[in-house]
Amino acid sequence: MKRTVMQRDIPFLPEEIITSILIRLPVKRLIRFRCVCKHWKNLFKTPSSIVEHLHHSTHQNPSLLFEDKEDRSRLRLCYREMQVLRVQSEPFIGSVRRSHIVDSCNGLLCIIDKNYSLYLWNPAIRDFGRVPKSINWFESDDYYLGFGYSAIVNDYKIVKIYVSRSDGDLVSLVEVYSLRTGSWKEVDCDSLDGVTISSNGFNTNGNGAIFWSGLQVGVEKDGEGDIDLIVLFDIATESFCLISAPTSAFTYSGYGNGLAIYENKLAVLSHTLSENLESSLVDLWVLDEDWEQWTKIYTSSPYAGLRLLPVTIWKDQIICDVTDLPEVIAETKTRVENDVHKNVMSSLTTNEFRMFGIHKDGKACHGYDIFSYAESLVPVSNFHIEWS
Amino acid sequence: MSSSVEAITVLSSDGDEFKITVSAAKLSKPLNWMLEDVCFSDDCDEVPTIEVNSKTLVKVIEYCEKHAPRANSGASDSDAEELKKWDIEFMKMDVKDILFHILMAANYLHMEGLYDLACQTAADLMKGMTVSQIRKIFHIKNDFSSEEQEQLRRQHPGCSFD
Repeated sequence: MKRTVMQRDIPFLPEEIITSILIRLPVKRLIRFRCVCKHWKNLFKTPSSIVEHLHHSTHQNPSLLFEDKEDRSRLRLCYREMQVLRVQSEPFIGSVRRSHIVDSCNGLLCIIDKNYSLYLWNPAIRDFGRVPKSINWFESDDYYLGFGYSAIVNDYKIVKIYVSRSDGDLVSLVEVYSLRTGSWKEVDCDSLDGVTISSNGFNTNGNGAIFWSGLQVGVEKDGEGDIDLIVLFDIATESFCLISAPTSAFTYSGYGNGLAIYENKLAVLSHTLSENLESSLVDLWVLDEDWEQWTKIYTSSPYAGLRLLPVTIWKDQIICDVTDLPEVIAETKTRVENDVHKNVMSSLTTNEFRMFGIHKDGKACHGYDIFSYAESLVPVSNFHIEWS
Repeated sequence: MSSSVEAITVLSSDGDEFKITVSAAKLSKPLNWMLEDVCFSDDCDEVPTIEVNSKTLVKVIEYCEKHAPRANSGASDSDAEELKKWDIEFMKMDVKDILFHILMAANYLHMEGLYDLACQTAADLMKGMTVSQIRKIFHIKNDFSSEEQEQLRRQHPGCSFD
């Protein structure tokens, strides 16, 4: 006789256990299961459940987002053990060529298009919104952008730091957009007097702050007195603070250094070439919570044959772009010409290197910009309504 | 507390007796308290009852005994790897059968590791289920009116209520 388990044998689970199960589901399934009942439809619209889901997603399933430098609408998501997924682009993003990601935070992407319009986009729930024009609207790229979140004020902010091209690229004006209020405002930037932002464009966000690499321009004309530093924007207080760089290897003009967040702290990734130019290695520096003391916590073993350009940290791996070393161009040429774009991971725990590749789909590829990403249910279009 | 005690006897909600070692019981705060209470009294003739049925308690104790050495001493990475594999085998159970009982027990006994594991297992099982299968296992009624269903279908083409 076939034995069937009756439905009555399955216990009724209390609400808290059901929620614990649901936060472990990918966003796509959660959306599908909205149709189960009215209660489930609204379950993941409450701020507390969105935060709970985000917390789980960030810690259990941190991913990397690869944005093709050549065709910015091509996004690849890398998760778990380097499984790769194509991210469906929104039609509006696909149609706007040369748009690119400013930064990624809590599952939201801040995007700028070729007309200098800004968008916020949550690819997981396919929610997006256009950011209104800022107060000082210049159709130029004489500014640097940053995007981040502060739990203290529970708000996402976009920062626009204008520099004056006629005045040695020094910071001239700062505007901040708040997703909560839906508006821009000018903020005080006196502390950035004599400071310029690195055009290498490495910025990152985490722990309630946005970071850029910068330079305090010295009094002497020959640039002798210039000081490399990191510009920090505190999202809650909307104020700037300057932090000295940990090492001379991390310079304003430094090619292929990275800013990242490691264990909730600001980290600087710098690379060094060996004397014979045949290998390179990566250092990881971490800033303490008072934003005062740098500590070098890791140095990779030397990697022969390629120059490692550290980009970000993912789980316990330093993710690096690679380029040829001057001494070994002939040998590496073959690697660059095949169908896969190569990156290198350096493990912080085992000190081993691993090469991984993202397929280019037969198209030309000049590499990827890489962002930390965790899918979330954070709304864009109704943010101020849902969270107020 | 007598240090010679290595295991205690507990009763399931069905009234069956089970032995659990001291180190395994430490994985659960309530069990640990029970253990201390039992061991403090000289005549241990009172057997504490755990509000978990026999079938589930067998599994819970099995999990505790397996995880106890690592939880109490810490272990190497290879042990962690082995334990991970064991967890996967351990969790090969049917949602209709025992998984939800394990979830309730892990919640009741404050066993974080087992609770996380069971939640993840349930979530993984749900990924392959239809909406009506989900309603069945969670005892949920479809309370959308046909108008509301129609409206949702219009807003989200492709969504299914079955």
